[in-house]
Amino acid sequence: MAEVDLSLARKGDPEAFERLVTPHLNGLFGFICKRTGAMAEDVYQETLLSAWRAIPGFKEGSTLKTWLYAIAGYKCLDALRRKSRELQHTELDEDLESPGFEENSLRGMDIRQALAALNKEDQSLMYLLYTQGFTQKEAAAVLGIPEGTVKSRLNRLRKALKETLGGEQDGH
Amino acid sequence: MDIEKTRELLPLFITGNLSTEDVLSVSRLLAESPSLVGELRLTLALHDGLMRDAPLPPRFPQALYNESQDSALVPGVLADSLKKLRQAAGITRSAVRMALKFI
Repeated sequence: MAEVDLSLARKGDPEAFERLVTPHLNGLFGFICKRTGAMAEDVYQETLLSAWRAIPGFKEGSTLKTWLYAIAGYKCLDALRRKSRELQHTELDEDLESPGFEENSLRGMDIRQALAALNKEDQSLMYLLYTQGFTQKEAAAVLGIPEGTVKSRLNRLRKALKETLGGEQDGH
Repeated sequence: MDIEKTRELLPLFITGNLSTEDVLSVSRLLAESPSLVGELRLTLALHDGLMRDAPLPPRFPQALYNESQDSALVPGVLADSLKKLRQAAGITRSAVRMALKFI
């Protein structure tokens, strides 16, 4: 069925394209929200339009999900750069430049608060890995960062979040 | 499969994105290693924390349907020319019909 829809979408059938991407839309929008915050709706629309225009060139054998998220990753980065050019010094700039967080700063928070305290890039990395079934290599490709960076960042995040969870459990 | 590799696979384990063989390997190591169970607990907590209050996507963009009306395979620059060509063909057709009436 997906193969038929892919073939129809390539020939310019928008309904087939919608059927094809629908299983990925919740996760895709979640990722874009984590990555761009308030700009998510616009970036989501841009992502789907770009994917629609690019679908005739989609290679057989590639994963549609990874392809779609890669377009979203690029669009997110583009939107964040545009935004940071518009504003001289904003919260967003700090977010982009932030090395992450101070590990001690997560102590005393519950897991949700701790996740919300991470910068947007870390949040979107965790989202791809822990909810969308991406491997570290795929997540690195979507975010446009080296796989080694994903590994080291993940180790650091897990260590800090583990302490948070440990504290939470001690409290109960 | 070592503990480090297994830890890396835990997010894929809980989201059902592992092969049967890997699921069995991870399950076996989980039964043997209490520290890995702690890692699994963290993985589940992170999954739940990230999924809670997940936003629903907005409506599918209608612009995509509008764009496809001309033809998804015709680049935007050529779409206007194509429209004019179609209009011209319509005018020519009407002119030929009128001429035929006179003949």
